[in-house]
Amino acid sequence: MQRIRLVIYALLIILLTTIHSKSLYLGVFSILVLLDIRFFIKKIRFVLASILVFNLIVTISYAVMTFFTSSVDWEYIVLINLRVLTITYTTFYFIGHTNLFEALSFSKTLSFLLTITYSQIINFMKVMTDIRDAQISRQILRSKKNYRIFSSHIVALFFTKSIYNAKETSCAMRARGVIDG
Amino acid sequence: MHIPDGFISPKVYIPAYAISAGLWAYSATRLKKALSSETLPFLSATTAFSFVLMMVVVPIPGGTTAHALGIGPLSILFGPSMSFLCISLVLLLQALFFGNGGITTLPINALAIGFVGSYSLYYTYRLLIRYEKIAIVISSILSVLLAAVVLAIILGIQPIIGVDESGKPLFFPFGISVTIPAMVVPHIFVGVAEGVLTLIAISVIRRFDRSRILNAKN
Repeated sequence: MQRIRLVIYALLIILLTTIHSKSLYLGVFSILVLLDIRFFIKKIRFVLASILVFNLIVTISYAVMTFFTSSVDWEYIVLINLRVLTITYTTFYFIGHTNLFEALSFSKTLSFLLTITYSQIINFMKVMTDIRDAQISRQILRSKKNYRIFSSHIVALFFTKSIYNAKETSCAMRARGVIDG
Repeated sequence: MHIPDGFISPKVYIPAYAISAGLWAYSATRLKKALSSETLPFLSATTAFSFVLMMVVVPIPGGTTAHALGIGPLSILFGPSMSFLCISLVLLLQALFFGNGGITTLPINALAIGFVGSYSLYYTYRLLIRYEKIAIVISSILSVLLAAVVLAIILGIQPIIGVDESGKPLFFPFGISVTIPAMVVPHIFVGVAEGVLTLIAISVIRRFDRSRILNAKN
């Protein structure tokens, strides 16, 4: 079932980049919104946060360029922004309704690597937040020097922590017979 | 450096998926042979570290973003084919879980950052290995710049191949004359930062266990 969802998602994405129609984008976007309206605010915030910078830079640069050469090409600006919004929303909708680990479990090796890497990433992100909070709570004034010292130490800390995590994972995997060797 | 969804024509990303699929299959076979309970956690830890480096992004005028790539430790310690696969995995996780990059642009980002970046870094490093620290820095700078050039070319050809009947762009609107300087110039600094980070990362990881890494590479 998960793999079927993955295929449907892939076909939908190809469709969205092949047909250049604003009404198609609006239609797909509206259907996805209606399908899980409860999570719309949460999802749209995440979608906008992930596309805003790139799209703004392209949109503004293109608007300025076309303003000086001919007239602002609003058709393109609306089309590209709607397309990016719809594709990104589709991706987050798909992620919210699919077990990606199961969908990508056709290779055992890749599945192991994906699972362990993802767990390490989550672990790293938690550590990063903890360190940042600890740093803020322990200094009175923010300075560039403090930030430089903090940044250089954080690289070494991340790697040290990842190696210890790796050793623990290695022992746990061997003990549970997940992999041999 | 990642390109988000919607800016690349299917004329580019579908062939890129075909090429990447072949390369992923080859790399997965090599990975399967090298992987054990000793090397898998090391590889995943280095991959996760690469992910952390890639998440720190800075927007660049002209349409894209800059960040360190973290390919140095992966490519030098585990070899370019494993590095390519792991970088692709990082790009997939970023696109699907963190909204950075995209699913249509995954093979393009993977080929530019993972393949071109990893292989150019590895072979430049091997060429200059007598002076290892210099080799790490120079190979890192070169790999970042080459990856940036490949992405700039792919973005820059979109107004040529992805236009409507009236010649208006349907995907990325700026040509190579804009994308190359916009991508390459900021990535000179990114390359230097990448070199320093790789130097630190390799010295830290080697302090722990050199033999496991060499086992994975061979």
